[in-house]
Amino acid sequence: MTRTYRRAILIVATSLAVVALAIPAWATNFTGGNGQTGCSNGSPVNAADGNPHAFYYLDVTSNVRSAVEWVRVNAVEPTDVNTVVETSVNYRTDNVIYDAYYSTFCGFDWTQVIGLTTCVSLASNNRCEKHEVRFDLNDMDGFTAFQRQTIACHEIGHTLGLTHRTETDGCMTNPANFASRVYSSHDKAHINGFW
Amino acid sequence: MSLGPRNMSVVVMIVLGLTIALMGSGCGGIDPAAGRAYLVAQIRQRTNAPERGQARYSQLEQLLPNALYRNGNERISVTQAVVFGHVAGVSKGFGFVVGSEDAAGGIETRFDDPEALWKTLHIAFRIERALGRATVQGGTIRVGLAVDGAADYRRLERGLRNLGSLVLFLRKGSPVFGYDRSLYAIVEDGGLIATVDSEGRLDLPMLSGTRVIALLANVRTLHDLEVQAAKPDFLVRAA
Repeated sequence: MTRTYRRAILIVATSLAVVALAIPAWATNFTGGNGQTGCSNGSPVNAADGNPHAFYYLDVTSNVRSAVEWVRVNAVEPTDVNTVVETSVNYRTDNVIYDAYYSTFCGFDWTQVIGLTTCVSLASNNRCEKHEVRFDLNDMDGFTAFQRQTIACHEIGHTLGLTHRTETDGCMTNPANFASRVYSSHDKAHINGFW
Repeated sequence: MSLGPRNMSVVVMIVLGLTIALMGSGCGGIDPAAGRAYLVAQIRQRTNAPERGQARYSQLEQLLPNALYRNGNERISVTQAVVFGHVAGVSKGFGFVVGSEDAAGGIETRFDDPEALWKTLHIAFRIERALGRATVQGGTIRVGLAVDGAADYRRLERGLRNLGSLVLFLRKGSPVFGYDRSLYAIVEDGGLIATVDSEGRLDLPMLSGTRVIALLANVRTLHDLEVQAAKPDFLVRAA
């Protein structure tokens, strides 16, 4: 093989490596900050801008609040992300938690949907200034406490930058399999690497 | 084999050109010619955005009208129609805004309202064949599709018109299109659109890889689907 031919192969290999590096990070179920807002930002999702990660509950039922609180304390706090509960929505608020008997919010048929996380405003660094996290009481009312916690873990995971996985360890599986209410070691590595 | 300096320059130019083109497209970004890639990206994002419960079906044949599920004392199918045909036209539906932060649904507004959080498209779908028992057997039906408020109508329209031959898995009575009961909805908020290539092979471009493999495990072609649709009703057992 001549020297010029080897150089040509090297250039091709380098170029392919550059292309590979350009593949979005969410291919590994993590996005970080990506400037996304709107109804579809659950995939790919846009990570919140703040640490501590600030929660606000907007008149939610005790069942949903208990589920999210369980996740905040037992799934999020053990990572490198600190959390706080706010008594009002302010510039620090990252997640506003809602629940309702949803019908068509964001144009989805909620007879097939349990929860939805959307980013509604951007911070200057293109990460999400404020997420709205919604839980459908049509489903949540009939779930056990453990099942509610699995869904809460999933939705709060989106606010941390995690996307869906098909692997069944951890709570980011979609469709919901209600098997785990914490983040997998894979998910935690993503969170801790980013936050 | 040896490359001279001139040929070497050509190789470098080609490689750099391809690299820039691939990076510029975001490795799967917008196809400006057809808008198809834009449409697929938009719908894939939407179908993947919410957390859904486990579907009662795992394979495509379980979505046919002859696949029945227990619902109390009733036996129901997931779809009311499964149709093979093509998109004959696309028009603007409505935009939707939310009246309060804790709203369960939306308030109708004009399609191009910049405040719309989501909006609907109305697709005229020309049926070549209905598969199995269906509420429609031919002609043109109207199908609704919801998209994000910021989505570009022209690119979506081009994308829909360039999808080619399709099988749509349809249900009636979706609350998303409650303003017009004549509209069919595509199962999974647009996810169950199957493309049919010139060899009759099916693909599900709006869904992610592992689900596509499972759904197409037994039914890979339009012919396979038609064979399944012609079978007597059967009861699908819970997974």
